[in-house]
Amino acid sequence: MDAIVLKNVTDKGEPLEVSFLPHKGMNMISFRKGNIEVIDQSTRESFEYRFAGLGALIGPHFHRRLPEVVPKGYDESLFPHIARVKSQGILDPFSHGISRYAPWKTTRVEQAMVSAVLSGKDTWNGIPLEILEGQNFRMSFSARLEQDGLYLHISVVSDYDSLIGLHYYYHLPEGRGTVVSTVQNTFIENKQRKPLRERFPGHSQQSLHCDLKEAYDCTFFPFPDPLEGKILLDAGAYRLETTYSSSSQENSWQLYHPAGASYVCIEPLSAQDPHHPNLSVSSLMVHLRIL
Amino acid sequence: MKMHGHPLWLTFLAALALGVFWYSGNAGWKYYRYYSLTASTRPTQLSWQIGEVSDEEYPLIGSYTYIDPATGDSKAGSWSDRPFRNRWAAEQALPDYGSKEWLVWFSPNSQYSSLQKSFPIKECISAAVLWLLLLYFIWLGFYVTRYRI
Repeated sequence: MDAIVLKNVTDKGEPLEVSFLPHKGMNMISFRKGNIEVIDQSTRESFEYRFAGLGALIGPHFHRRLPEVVPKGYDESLFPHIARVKSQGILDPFSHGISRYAPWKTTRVEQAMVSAVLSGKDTWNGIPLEILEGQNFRMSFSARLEQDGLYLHISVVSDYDSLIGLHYYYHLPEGRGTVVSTVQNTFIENKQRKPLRERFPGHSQQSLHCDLKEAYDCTFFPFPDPLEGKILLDAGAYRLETTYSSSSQENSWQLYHPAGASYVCIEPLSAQDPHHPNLSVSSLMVHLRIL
Repeated sequence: MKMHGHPLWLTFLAALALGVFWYSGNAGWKYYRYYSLTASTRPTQLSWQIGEVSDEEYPLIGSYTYIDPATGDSKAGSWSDRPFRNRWAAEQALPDYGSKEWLVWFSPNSQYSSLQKSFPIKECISAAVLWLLLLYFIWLGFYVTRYRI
């Protein structure tokens, strides 16, 4: 695989390295500080099987679309993963949006930065991506590896309402961890907006502390600044701070962790309700810092 | 035969009737505009630009001139399709609009013209459904009085 590898060193002289696969959905297959790898490499099989796992992107749509709105009319055999996901009962052939599957075009590559674009007019196996996604769009991605971590800028503009986000699978090497943040006093679970105290009764106001012994698939909203979220993952062997900012309150972050999984996903998103985005133009700035 | 005369019922019928008249008037006006576009010709000049109605409404506005074959007069008009959600989407559509072969539809007896002649089917169906609803409620008013329900 032809990965683009960005390198830098921290102010303490520790090497930083991040790798992307532009031709496979701009997946961030590795993010390391010294010997610490934060991307769960055990999800590589899932990545090779159906483009999930490792450091996948989200967009222009979230999760799985309803079967009635999934675009049809192209030769599915051109995309072998479709038969595999359909055999598992997944009816959306490009779950989480075409961006994590299709080959991106790099526009700039330097030692510590890369930028790339993806357009609905681009073709993949001869099929325009707008046919596969069901709308025309343009996404841009740039990554810059600085001394204090990885800076990402992602954006989307599209014919209809859409979103962008990160679906990075962070490793829990000790099989446990915690996620801490301050969030608004409501959250979304099972597509329903609920009071925070309903799921997190012992927590002080707006303070979120998730022990990853439990399963989570929840959408949270940043507090006190509704435009900026800060989430700290303590995985034992390392700590990772995710800071993201958005130009509008149409943003949220998803916490995804199946019970007993070797990973946790902290997913900044450019929509309040990722299943029902409201913007046709949106962007996110994300800073990932390994502590 | 007498209609059920409760003031609330009559107010409801009056409000519904107002809606029916509004929708019918709208459908009638659009049908008239559709019906009046009886002639067509090629535009002598056509240019497209992106308008901005709001943050989420960017229509492509076509400005055109044409010659009325009957009189030889040069006339001008403009027309816009439904708006795009952002400027980028409008810019993407601009080449398609620019390369398409357009016809100017016009009314020989007025200044009205358009780049599209489409039957107002949604408005007509809405008006028809509302008329059926109004007639049903009028019938219900008489039915209730007749059988003293």
